[in-house]
Formats: sequence, structure tokens, C-alpha cells
Amino acid sequence: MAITPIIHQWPESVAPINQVFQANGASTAGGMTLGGAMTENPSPGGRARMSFVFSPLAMRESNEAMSWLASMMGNGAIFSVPIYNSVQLVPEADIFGVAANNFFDTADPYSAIAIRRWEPFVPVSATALAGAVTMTADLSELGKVLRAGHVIGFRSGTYDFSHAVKSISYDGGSIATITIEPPLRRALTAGDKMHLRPKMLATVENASEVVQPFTSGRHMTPGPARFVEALV
Amino acid sequence: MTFESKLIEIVGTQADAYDIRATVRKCYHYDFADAPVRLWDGEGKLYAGGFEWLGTVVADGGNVHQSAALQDPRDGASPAYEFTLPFVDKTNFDAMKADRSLAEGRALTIYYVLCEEGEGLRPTTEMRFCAKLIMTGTKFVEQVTGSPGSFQFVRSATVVARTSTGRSRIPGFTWTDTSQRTRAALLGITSDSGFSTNNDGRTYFVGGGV
Repeated sequence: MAITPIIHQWPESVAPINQVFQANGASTAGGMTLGGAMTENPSPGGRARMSFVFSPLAMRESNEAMSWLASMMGNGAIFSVPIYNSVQLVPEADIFGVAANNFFDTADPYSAIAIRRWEPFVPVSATALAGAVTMTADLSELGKVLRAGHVIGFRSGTYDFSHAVKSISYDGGSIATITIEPPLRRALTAGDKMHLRPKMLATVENASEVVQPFTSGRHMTPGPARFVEALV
Repeated sequence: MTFESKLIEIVGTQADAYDIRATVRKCYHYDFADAPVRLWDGEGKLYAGGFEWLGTVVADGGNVHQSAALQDPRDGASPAYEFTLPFVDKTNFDAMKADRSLAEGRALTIYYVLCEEGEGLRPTTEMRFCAKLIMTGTKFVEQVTGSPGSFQFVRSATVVARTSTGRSRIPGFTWTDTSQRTRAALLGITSDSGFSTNNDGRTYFVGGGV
């Protein structure tokens, strides 16, 4: 009997003003060299992390969503958090053709207000096994727009995974071999979607610092939130 | 490549002057009857040796699988080692407690895995045998900790294992009186007279007599 974790959707209206996604893994203390230098012993794999800094939430909708989050974040609840638009994502101007038309209609999971989501993607070109750090994607439609430092993602069932591109090499401008961090959490097959506006499954590491009182009962300025990848 | 040859390659020769960095972690194979469990000291799922190993390191860097440090068994001692999952939820705790007979007499094998840069969680180097212990029993502990206002109910599950119960074919292990008695008890023999080694407790003089 497997335990299936409940995934909550992070309300899109609770958007940060500053954010960063990083996947620098972990290391343990190594040893001391004869010269007296401490070395680090790298741990294989590791978890992705993300930080949000918020400005005062202006809309009633986002404050109500924050009230829900205030009671949800503290006990290790797993959220599917979107990577909000920043320099870490492939810029909109570089996404054109079919990818520019990948819209679909859905509803905001918290407020049930109808929204139109934009989910541009490029296809994965070959199988990659779970646990691997290299995969290939077909970027022939967009050209060489994906660069080291960008964040991309995959979805498997209801689970979203985000990865940072550590290095990328193009084969004649179409097939890109990408080294990602953290390692793939699920296997990929040719034709799967590599999302350019990804989400990640994360828990809030410092939930008690995020929740602040509502100023005059109306607006909250949430404290900085640190997310750590939830391994599902 | 075998573990030894890869490790020798990483260590280099006496003419090399770089930092030696070998990422080696332990993997634990609990061979419970009909339900083997494989864990490793890392984050995420490791794919090695043809199996999936579940990582026990959590986000803050702590390891929720407490393993005992193994001593050299050649001095005749056969200590009882404990391997613990210190925080288990109620459903799994009750299920494990009901199934505790699946552990008795089964093998706990520990391996080393060597991961290289660029392999992610799929190392290509063969795993290396570290130790094989026989699980002799289990312990389940429920306790309340903390102070008024912040009480915690903690459940932990422990497996007790000994390095060998007399099978000297396992590399590095020897016969001991304690392990013989434990093995006899596992097989249901209540009055085994044990095994007299005559070697433990003796004093040896090296390099000249008294």
C-alpha cells in the first residue's frame, strides 16, 4: 500500500516580487588536507530550493489566499508552486510558433476564477531514466534560446518537477543535450513535454516566518519564504 | 568498473597533487521475509546494483535512518548493533509491529556505492560489499517528549543485529561465543552450551617473551 501525498496548488495570486530557484545540491564535511584546507564531500543528487520575497499583497483575493496558506503551510504540506516569471525562465519573446499557442482554460485552484494558462513546451527527443542528469530535447522550433541557468520542468501524472540547466550543447541548432540539476525524478520518453513555464513540488521550510499579521485587517506582507523540493 | 579500481583511480599516484574526492555512501539492504527494504544515506532515490534505494536524508541534512558504527569483530566481541528509524507515523508503526516476525533471522547487508560527477543518481561503478549482519530482533518504542504546551508523541522502530552468527564464510567475520548462543536461540535451541574460542581475553606478547 503506497502512500500518495496530497498535493496542494499554490494560489497564483500570491506572487512574490523577488524570487530565485537554485539546485546546488548538498555536501558533507570532507577531510582536511595536509596543507590544512578543509574539503567538502559532495552528496549525489540533492534537492532543489526556491526563495520568495513578497511585497505587501494588494488584492483582496491574494490576501484571502494568503489566509488559507497561513494555515496550510506549517505542517509540511506539499505545494505545487509555479516558477514565477524572472530571468530564470526562457523569455517570452523567444517563445514563438506552436509553443506560443499552448494555452488552455482552467480555473484558479483556490478562488475557482476562470483563468487561461500558458504552458509553452518543447518535446523531449529521447528516453532518459529517472536519476540521470542528462537528457535531450528537440528545440528545432525555437532555436538556441535555452541557456545554462534557465529553469525547465516536467510533469508526471499530477507531480511537477523543476530543474536548472547546468550546461547545454546544441547539435546543429535542433537537438539539445542538457545537463540538469537535480537529477530526474521520473523517467522521460520521447515526446514528453519539457515545460518552459514549470512548477515544482515543494514544502515551506520556514513557515512560521512567512505568516505576518494582516495590517489593518486587510493586507499582509508575508515574510520571505524558503521552499525546499518535496521528494514524492 | 569495479569499486576498487575506481577508488584507486580517484586516489591517484604519488605524483598526483589534487584533492582526493570520492563520494561514497552506504546502502542498507534489509532482507525482511517477502518484503525487502533498501535504504541509502542520501537524498532521493538511488538506482544502483539493479535496485532502487530510498534516500533517508531529509531537507535539513539530517538522516532519519540511524545506523550503528560497526566494530572490527575479530577481537571476539559480538555487540548488538541497532539500526533505527527514529520517527515513524502511527499507521506504519502499527503495521511494522504486526510484521516484526519478518525480521528475525534475516540478513542485513551493507554496501558501499561510489557516485561520480555527471552520473546523477545512477552510478555505473559496481557496489562494494561492506558488511553482513543477521537481524536478531526488533524493538518498538513509543514515548512522549517535550514540555507542557509542546508535547510530542514519538514512535521509533529499531532492528537489532549482530555481525555474524557463526558463518565464517562471510568475509571478515569469525566465530564468537555470543553469536553462537544467539544463533542457537534463533533456531529455537534453548540450552546451547556456546562455543569456547580460547582466544578472547588472552594476552599476546609480540617481539620477544617475558
